[in-house]
Amino acid sequence: MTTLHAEAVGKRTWPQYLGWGLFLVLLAWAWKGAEMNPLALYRDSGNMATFAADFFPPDFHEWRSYLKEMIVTVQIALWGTVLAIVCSVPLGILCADNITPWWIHQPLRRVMDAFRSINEMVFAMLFVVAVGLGPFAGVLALWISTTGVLAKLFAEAVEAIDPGPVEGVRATGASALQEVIYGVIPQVMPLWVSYALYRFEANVRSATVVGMVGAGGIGVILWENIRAFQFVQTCAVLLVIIVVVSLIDVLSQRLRKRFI
Amino acid sequence: MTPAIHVDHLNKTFAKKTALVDLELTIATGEMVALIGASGSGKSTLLRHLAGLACCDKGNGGSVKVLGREVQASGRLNGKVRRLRADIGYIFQQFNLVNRLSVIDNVLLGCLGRMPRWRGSLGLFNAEEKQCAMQSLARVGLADLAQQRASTLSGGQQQRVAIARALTQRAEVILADEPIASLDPESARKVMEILADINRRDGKTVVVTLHQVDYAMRYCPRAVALKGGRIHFDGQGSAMSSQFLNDLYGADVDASLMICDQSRHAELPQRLALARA
Repeated sequence: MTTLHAEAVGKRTWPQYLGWGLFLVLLAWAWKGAEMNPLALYRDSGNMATFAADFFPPDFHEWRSYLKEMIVTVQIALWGTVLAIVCSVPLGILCADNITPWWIHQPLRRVMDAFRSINEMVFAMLFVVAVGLGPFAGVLALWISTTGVLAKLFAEAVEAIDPGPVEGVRATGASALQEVIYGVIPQVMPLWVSYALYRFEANVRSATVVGMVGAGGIGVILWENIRAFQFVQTCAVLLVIIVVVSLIDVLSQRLRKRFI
Repeated sequence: MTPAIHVDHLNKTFAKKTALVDLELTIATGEMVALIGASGSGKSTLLRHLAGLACCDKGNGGSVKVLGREVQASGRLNGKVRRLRADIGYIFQQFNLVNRLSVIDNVLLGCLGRMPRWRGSLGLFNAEEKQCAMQSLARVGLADLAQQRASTLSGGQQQRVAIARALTQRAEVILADEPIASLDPESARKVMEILADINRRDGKTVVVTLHQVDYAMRYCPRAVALKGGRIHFDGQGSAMSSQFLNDLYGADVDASLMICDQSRHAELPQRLALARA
């Protein structure tokens, strides 16, 4: 009995062993490509300790300008997100396969895929060339990439609705637009608000980075300090970012909970 | 006088199954008709075609006319079907209210088919429309719940809100698809009373699909029975014998279940007589 039992278990798991084996081979292969070298962590630990020590104590002499630029960063995130929401509402509905025929939602989804697959950093670099250095380039970059994400999420919410209420509205003699306004939007509203707020949180984080390619905000100061090896100032900037981003996260989470 | 509903040689085939076969039906203005039949007999499909919520076969689909105007013919909906639907109130088994809107907002949706599109889309209902909605809600006995969210109501109350929506619509024809199938007996009775009252007092044409034959006999002077997408019986509800019902519902199991169901409604003596027959 016991051997039989063991065999049964063995039979069931050998494909699993194979799967794990393949995964290990994949890891080993990627090890080479990524030039993994954990020994360096140990060997150069002295250097790293010295380097880390250079960050302390943080120098907050310029805190006024840090805070000013951090606020600009939040402003970039706010406008980038709001413009994206405004575009994602119609796009999200047009990308939903239960609302539009395939020849509308398929091409639109591909465009959204493209918006999403290119990182906002890349868009920021392109817009810096197009509209010049400054926060507006950051807003445009966040707008495009966030629209790609939000339109997809909005469309998925629309695809999950209950068709009943939509038909109920249709039966009153409503127009197609009215079916969407009264049948679809009320159903997806809580999810949409939640997604939009979550993207705002993510965009505050992203906005700190787009600054590093010249698209305004705290990222510009951060990049200047790193390039000048002014690590005590860098540390202060990082701390400002951590505090503000955490604050926004908490606030937005509170708001989101009210809608779920 | 043009009939309220005229169905001419209607055919409907789903992927493999034929749902309606060469169906002919005429319902005069002011009638109250029960559509009965087993599950899959085509009664709901027929009702959906009447409101243009489903489209008949392309080749030999036949046609549907409501109030003398063509809703669909040969698989094509009339281009103005959205405005035509304003005259056709539809009550669903699952109520199909917009859960997150208030009761009164749901009832106001009934105005959409009769007002300018821009005003309806912006939700700018005028005083007259609001008053009409409140009156409809009062008629189904739910005026005091106007400001509540639709999702907080019981099933029976939700169905009455759906009827108020159809009343606000000022529809001449009311189609009700299994309106009481998801309700308890008391709510079911209320809903049927309201539908019968709309028929009697306002002279609206009412077509209701029902599972419960006893309700059909009690409230509807005329019954149309469907079987396999064809009309199996069309006449006075009280003329249906239990032998006929056995035949209509096919298996013996179904018939015995039905008789159990009937004996539960002790207040209906004729139903018990039927069970004994």
